[in-house]
Parts: sequence; structure tokens; C-alpha cells
Amino acid sequence: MLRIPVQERKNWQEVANEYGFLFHTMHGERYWDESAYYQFSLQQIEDDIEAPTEEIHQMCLHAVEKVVADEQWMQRFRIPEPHWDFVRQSWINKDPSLYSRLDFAYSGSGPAKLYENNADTPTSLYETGFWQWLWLEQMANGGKVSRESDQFNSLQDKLIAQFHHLLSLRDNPDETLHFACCKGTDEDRGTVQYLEDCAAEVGINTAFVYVEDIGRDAEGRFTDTENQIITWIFKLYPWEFMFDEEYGSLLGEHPVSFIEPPWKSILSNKALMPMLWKLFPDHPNLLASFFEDEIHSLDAHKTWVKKPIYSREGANITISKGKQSLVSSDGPYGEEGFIFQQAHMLPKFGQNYTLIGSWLVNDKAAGISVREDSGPITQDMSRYLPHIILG
Amino acid sequence: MKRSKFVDLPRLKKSKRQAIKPLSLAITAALVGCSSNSGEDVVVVNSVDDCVANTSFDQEQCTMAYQKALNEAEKTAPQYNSRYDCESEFGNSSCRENSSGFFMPFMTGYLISSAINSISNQRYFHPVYTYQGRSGSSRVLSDGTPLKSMGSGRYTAPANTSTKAMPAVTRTISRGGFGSKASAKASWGTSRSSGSWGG
Repeated sequence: MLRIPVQERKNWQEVANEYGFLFHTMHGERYWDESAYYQFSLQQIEDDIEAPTEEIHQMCLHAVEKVVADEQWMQRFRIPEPHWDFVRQSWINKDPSLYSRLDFAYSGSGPAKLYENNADTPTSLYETGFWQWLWLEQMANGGKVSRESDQFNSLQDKLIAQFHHLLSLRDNPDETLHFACCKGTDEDRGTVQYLEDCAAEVGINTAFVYVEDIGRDAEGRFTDTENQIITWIFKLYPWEFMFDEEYGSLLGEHPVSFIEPPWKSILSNKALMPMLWKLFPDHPNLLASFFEDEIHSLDAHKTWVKKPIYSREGANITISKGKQSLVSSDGPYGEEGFIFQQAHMLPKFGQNYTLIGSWLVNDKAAGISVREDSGPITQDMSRYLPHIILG
Repeated sequence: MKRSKFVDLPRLKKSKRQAIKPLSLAITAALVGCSSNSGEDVVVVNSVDDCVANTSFDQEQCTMAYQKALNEAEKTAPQYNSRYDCESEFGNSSCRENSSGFFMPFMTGYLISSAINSISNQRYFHPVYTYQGRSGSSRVLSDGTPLKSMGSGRYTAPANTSTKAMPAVTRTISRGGFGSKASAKASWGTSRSSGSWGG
């Protein structure tokens, strides 16, 4: 695994416009960064990332099985009690999943260590599935990287295939699949548009609605802005928010198929980390993790990372050793409690801390994304760098 | 190879979108495949007056069907990048530019099934276009499916064309019951957040 500086494509901003990639620069700062790329060997990809990704996913499904079957676990995962049946039922029904992203600390040797599972609302999908794919295509054609270069990135092919499968499960092939995200974010809108394009590719009828514009009728059915009843919806919006909001009480009242399904709320939850550690202690890809009430298990000589049960984009994280806090990030999360995870620093390449996102489409590993940050906690402004496989 | 093999670049361009599918191809395919007689008897009316004169429906009902077909045309008419591309399939002065900058043919009629005895909001009314092929003109649906002429305004459409149900609609009594948590969290800190609720 190497970080290799390289000349940027001269016209990449133009190409980005052409393809509608609008969030390559955010708040005046570079988000897409092609001034360098990461190079992996095929063995690193297949043995250290791809295989563990699929294995961990199976371990996660095993954890869901345990949690839904036991109210004590539902409690510790902070799933609100009124929604236990809703979550449990979606698991029993085997409601299909579309995608997830596992975040790993990986340096090129030794086992990749799982930080967390973004199983509910993963982003940086378009950058991964399409934009870095196009980068490699153009760099290889221009002779800027070896023509032998490959990329671990079958994300788009797999997404389209999974939409095909999802469509085959519908009783009515003309049913509309709604896509929803919040207002005011190009990044989320772009992610959802990309998924909508993938769904349209297999002939699914699609429609878009902003999360804030979703309505309800007298019977409690959800509606879009044209008063069409929503029966099948992809929502780039966290389950834990939906549970607590005004319409949360309507969930499960009428049949609606959600992507991601409600059982994903158990996986996108940091309580998953101590749960996995209990089920699979000392697994090479896991970091020791504990619930808050197990604080006595923490080795005071080691460094621990305190993470909120529900959080997004690296907010409200504290790194501490004994009673001394070393690094922390601000944020609005934490009211549902915290977990402790053994500290395992991200590898450093030059001045950059590097995080690997490993994508799954349903249960198949589908590619990686590489993010860099100048600090050890990866946040939403971390830069995105492309990668290649060579050798 | 560990990367995607079937990426269709032109389709992913946002600045210029190709016509959903080349209509002439769809028409040829349909003409070849559509020799059987099983189908649905329909009337293509060219105007609201034509509808009143040639169907059992009154002015009000015919106007409602017309409006619904027109709305549908706005959403589903074939789209072309240039006026030239559009007119080469539908004839001179037969196309207009829509709000997204694409060119689409004018609706030249709409379809009323002989099987229906009421016009309601729940029903789907197909817009019809007039395609100018090499061997003369033909009436086609939005996806290029040609209607087989039976004379005097009567046509045969593929089976179940007009019985296809509209997506169910209802009366919305409130909106905004989702999204409040996002705005609450977003109001924390202005310097950092990109506003994304992904992760």
C-alpha cells in the first residue's frame, strides 16, 4: 500500500461538471483530491480487505439475529421501545438490504481493524462507484498510470444488479420507488441521484421527494408532493432520527418497504462494536470494545476511544488514556450514551491519516474508498483520494 | 478484473442526456413483434371536441382525460437533444423545447379505451404522438409502441394499455413530520458541517 503523488487531470473540473459531480469542493476546501492516489497489491485487496469485509458482514448479521431476539439487547442498542416490533419484523421478513460501508484502519500489512459499520446511510458512493472509476479510465488511457492498473470497485455493476433483484421481489413491476434525502446538501442529493440513476437503469419507476416534504394522509400513509402514496422508498436519512420524529409513530402502521430496511438500525449503531467483541472475542479484524457499564473492563494503561452510540461523520469522539483526555471532537451527539473502543490509530502516509471504506452491496464486497484527514479522527471534510490495484 | 465492466458513460452525463431510447428502433421492433390480433380496442381522439363527438363521454369528462394525458406527456414524451433529432422522427414544426432544454414532440391526440365506461382520476390516459416514418405516418405511444389503425379513429393497442393503474394518490393532511432532527443537529456548529446526514 503506497501513496503516490501524481499530476491531476488538467480538465477534471470540466469533466465533473459534465457528469454532474457538484460537491468535489466543499466550503472552499478540496474534497475530491487527485494530487495523489493509493496503490494496493491484489493480495492486499483480496486477503486483507475483500475477504474480511464479507466475513464481518456475516458476523454482523449474526449480531442482528441476537439483538432482535432479546429485549435486553434492544435496550442496550437504544432502539426506542415503541419500534422494537417494527425493527424485529423487518428482520423476520428478511427485508432486503442494498448497501453498507465498513470503515477500516489498514496500513498495508496486518489485519484491517474495523472502526464501525455505516450500514444505514453511507455516503461517498458516487465518488467511489463512478467518479474514481472514471479517474482510472482516463489516467490509464492517458498513460499517467500503468495500463495494467485495476481498481477494487465493482460497486456500480453490483448496485444495478441488486436493484434488478429488488425489482424482481415487487408484486407490481410498475411500482414507484421513491428516493429521499434532506434539503440543502449537494452531497446527499448527488448520492441519491446516483442511486436513482442505477435504479432507472433496470427499468424501475423512480420519483424523488425531500425528507422534509414527506406528508401523511388521514390513514397515516406517507405521501410525496404530488400526493402519491409512498410504498417503496430509499431514504438517505438515519433510522434513529425517524424513530424519534413526529411521523415516527406511523412507522409500521401501513406496509412500506424501506431501503435500508429498519433492521439496519442495529448495525449503524456503535453498540454493534461491543456486541461483536462479545460474540467474536479476539477476532483479528475487531478492536476490543465495551459498553459504558463495563467500564471496569477497560485496561487503564491502554488508550480508549469513546464514541456516541449514535453519531455521524466523526462527531463527539474522545480519545483518552486513563483519566486523561488526549483528543476530542465536538458535536451534537451523545444523549443515547457511549461505547469504548480500544484505540488503534489510523496509519499515517506523509502528513495524512488514512481511512479505508469497504463497500458491500447486500452481502458481497464491492470496492473501497480512501479518505485522508490531517487529524486522527476522520470527519466529513476529509479528502477523498482514488486508488489503483497494481501487482 | 475487480472493477465495474458495464459503466455506460453517455447515460451518466448530466449536461446532455440522450433520448431515453431511439424511438425508431422501438417502433421497428414493435411492428415486427406485433402481428397477433390480441390487443385492446381503443379510440384515438385528436381534441376534446373530437372526444365528445366520438365517444360516450361529455365535455367535462373529455376535458379531464385531455388534461391527464397532457400531464402525462410532460413527464413521459420521448426526449431529444436537438430540435433536428426530434423533427426527423416527428416532422417539421412538430416539436417543442421543454423546461430542461430537451426537445419533445407535441401530443397529437389521446387514447380512450372502448372498454371503459367512466373517466376518473384513478385512470391513466395515454398521450399519442404522430410518428413520421419512411412509409408514412403512424400513431404511437410515449415509448414508441405503434397503434394499429382499424379505420375511422379506431385502433388496436397492446393488451391492457389503458387498464394500467395510476399510482395511488390520496389527500395529504400534513407534511414535515420527518427531518426535524436533522435541522436540530445542523444548527449546531456552522463552521464544520456540510449538512450531510450520511456517514
